[in-house]
Amino acid sequence: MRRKSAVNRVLLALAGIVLLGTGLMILAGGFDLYRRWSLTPPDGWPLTAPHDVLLADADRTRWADEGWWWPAVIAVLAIVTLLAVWWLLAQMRRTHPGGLSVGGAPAVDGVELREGALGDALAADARHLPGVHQARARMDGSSSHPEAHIAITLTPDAEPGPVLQALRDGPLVRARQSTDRTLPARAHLRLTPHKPHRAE
Amino acid sequence: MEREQDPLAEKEPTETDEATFRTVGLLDERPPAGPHSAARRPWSARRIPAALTALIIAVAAGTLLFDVIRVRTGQAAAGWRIRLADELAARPLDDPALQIGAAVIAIIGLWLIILALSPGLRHQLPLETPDAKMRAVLDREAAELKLRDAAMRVPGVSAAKVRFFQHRIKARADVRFRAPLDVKADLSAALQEALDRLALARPPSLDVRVRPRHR
Repeated sequence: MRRKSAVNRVLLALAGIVLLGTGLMILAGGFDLYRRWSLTPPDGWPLTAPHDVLLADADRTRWADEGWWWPAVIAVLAIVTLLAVWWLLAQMRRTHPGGLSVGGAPAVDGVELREGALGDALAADARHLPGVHQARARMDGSSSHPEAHIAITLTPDAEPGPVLQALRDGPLVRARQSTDRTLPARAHLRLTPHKPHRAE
Repeated sequence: MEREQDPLAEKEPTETDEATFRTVGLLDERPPAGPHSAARRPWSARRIPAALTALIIAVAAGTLLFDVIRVRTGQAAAGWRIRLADELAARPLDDPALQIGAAVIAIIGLWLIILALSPGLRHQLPLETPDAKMRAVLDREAAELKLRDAAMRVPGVSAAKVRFFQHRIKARADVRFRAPLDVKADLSAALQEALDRLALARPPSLDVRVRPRHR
């Protein structure tokens, strides 16, 4: 989850820098800013004068007759396409811890708690807490670093503080005891919308 | 980027956890709900912008790749590719269409950079939690509902609207009876109390306004 966020943000920033840089370069050339502000662009800097074009025919076909050009173009495009597809598919995957060992430091051999079972047990446990209207839970992360996600809808008169305290002292402690690890947890609290009513 | 340090920070407690775990259930030891537990805002994974960007890159590069291979196998280039090459070679940089396009590209790029660097999830308010391995957020809508209900319980308030912003809560109330100043004082106290009960990790400041509505 965190790693995915870091990768996404780095790649988004890169894409943003490329787009912003290209846009600004075209604008700077188009409004002739280099001459107006008497800046000297470095040697070989493209797009400096208003009458330049983005990609002249001569530039586009410069290496077209070389033997390596088309294989190189095809390879680069194929790599870019594959990386983009991988990046896209990565957004749809969720990480799952799979099975979790049960029962403490001398792990009970062959006994494994499936993540779905633990999530269901957590949710069923949380549903009985005072102030909780509805609860759902699922496990996230890897098998060595599982994390519980608990989504709770509060009843209209419940306060978040006591509900969180009860959630930790009850369901979460029990889940931690059954997996024998300090299971990190994320809780998302909601409230069903309701109409305002005047207290007389 | 600060984001990069998070995975490391998250991994470090594995060794100590095994040792401290045993005391958790037995002694009911409660680490104080200090700012360490919840001060960090949750960061969005930015899945939707990432998926859209990836899709656009994949479609563009894939289409171009397909046509390049088609031409290599001896067929004619597609019409769009010939037109694109002609346009790129014909339009000068001071062409208005190109300038508008460049401005749009620059704005999209800036937007992507902002998305990459900002936490997002503005509709989730981090809460104080009873232990450091637990994080919790409250929907902004839920917090607004709680405060609105608290405002409606103040005598004299006939309608109330509460909106949460990043550092400020705007509360607007219509007063139907009692002196507006008295109502405002009661309302501020009631809202502050309700806000304290929400146990937000970083409570915004309250901005309360009332207006008389005598009928």
